[in-house]
Amino acid sequence: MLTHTYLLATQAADDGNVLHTLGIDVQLLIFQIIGFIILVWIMAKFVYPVLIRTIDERQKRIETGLREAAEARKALENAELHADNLLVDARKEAETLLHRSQEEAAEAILRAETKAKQRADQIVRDARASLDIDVRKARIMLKKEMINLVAAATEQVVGEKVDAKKDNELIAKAVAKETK
Amino acid sequence: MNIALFAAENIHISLPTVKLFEIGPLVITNSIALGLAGIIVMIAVFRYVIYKVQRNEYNRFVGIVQWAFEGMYKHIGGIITDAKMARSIAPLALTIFFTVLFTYWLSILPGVGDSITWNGAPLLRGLPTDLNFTLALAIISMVAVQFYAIKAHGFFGNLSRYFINPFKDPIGAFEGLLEIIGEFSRMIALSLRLFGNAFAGEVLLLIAGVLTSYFAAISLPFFMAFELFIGFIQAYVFYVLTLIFAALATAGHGDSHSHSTEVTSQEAA
Repeated sequence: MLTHTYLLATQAADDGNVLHTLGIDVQLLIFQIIGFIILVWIMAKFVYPVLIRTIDERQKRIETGLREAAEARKALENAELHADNLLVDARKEAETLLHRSQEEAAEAILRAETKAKQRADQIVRDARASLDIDVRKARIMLKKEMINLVAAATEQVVGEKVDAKKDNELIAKAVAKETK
Repeated sequence: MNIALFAAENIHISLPTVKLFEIGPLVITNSIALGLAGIIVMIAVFRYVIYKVQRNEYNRFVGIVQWAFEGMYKHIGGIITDAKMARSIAPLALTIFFTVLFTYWLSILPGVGDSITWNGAPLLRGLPTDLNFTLALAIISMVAVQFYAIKAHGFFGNLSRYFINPFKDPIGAFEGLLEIIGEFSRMIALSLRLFGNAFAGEVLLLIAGVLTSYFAAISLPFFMAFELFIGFIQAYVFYVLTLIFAALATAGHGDSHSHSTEVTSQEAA
């Protein structure tokens, strides 16, 4: 059969009617050219624009997404940088506060120590003063006791009683002499 | 109408298509009948996809068609660097690709060829096996290439690619002559390549059916799958060559050789 086709083709070539043997018909050719151009027009008018628009929109969305992602990344980097700066500032402030509080604590301790020392000194001074008063009182009482004792002893030795005025004078002299 | 039990009952191979009927001045051949069916299927597929896309209803089929369309569309931008021209030539190139693809794939269906006859002639025949169709595509392709070349270089600028003063540049004049022959040979090569592959595919399926006889139901699917692949390759080749010819024609005079090498290497990659 293929041989038959080949023979037909060679015969047609000999006849000079190759185009007809190949099935080329000018009318059909023109009809198909016009038909295909109409098809291209239909596809270009009604089909491709919709699909191309979806591609463009998707491309736009991708580009927008990428741009927004880049912006978000930049914002994140800025935020991280800002957070780092804040942390550094906070750390510095905390160190300053700590340092100041330590200084203030030291000052407070010093003040408290000074105050306590002053108070202790005051207490000691007061105690001494009180003690001096007590000693003085004790001495006066002792002096009086001694006078009475000496008067009683003198009365026993002398055997007579001198008047009170004379007695006191004698005792006072005696005590003064003794205390010197 | 006669439906044969086996494809191999009456082997009849003919290069010309057979006229089925006429509608006024329009002649409907068996290849045009199946070609129209292929184009209707193609438009129906795209109509369905557009319907779904406009309603934001996506499924796997819509995704595949969109993915294929987007891939082909972006590929045009890869071959033709001028974005405006790429957008302008895209409808033609894409229509060539999808029309060849759908009509080629439809011609692989069982029943195409000698199985179903009308007045003794096959009722259905693949559109790419009609030389009128492949030649029509090639003529449209080459006319479009010339249109874009004139748009890029101007009418006389485009003519200067072919007609060079032989006294000033004899080698260039000879190259111009070769370029004129090249334009026609490209057109013939485009049409014969597609026709040859499609026709050979149809004959291959027929012969495979004859040789395997009762086991044709087992053997033919493998050949059909192979023809599906060949159909895709042929559609892609026609589409890419149209774009490459357009890119070459619109490239500057001086850099046509380097650009040609660049495009060819890009395609090879």
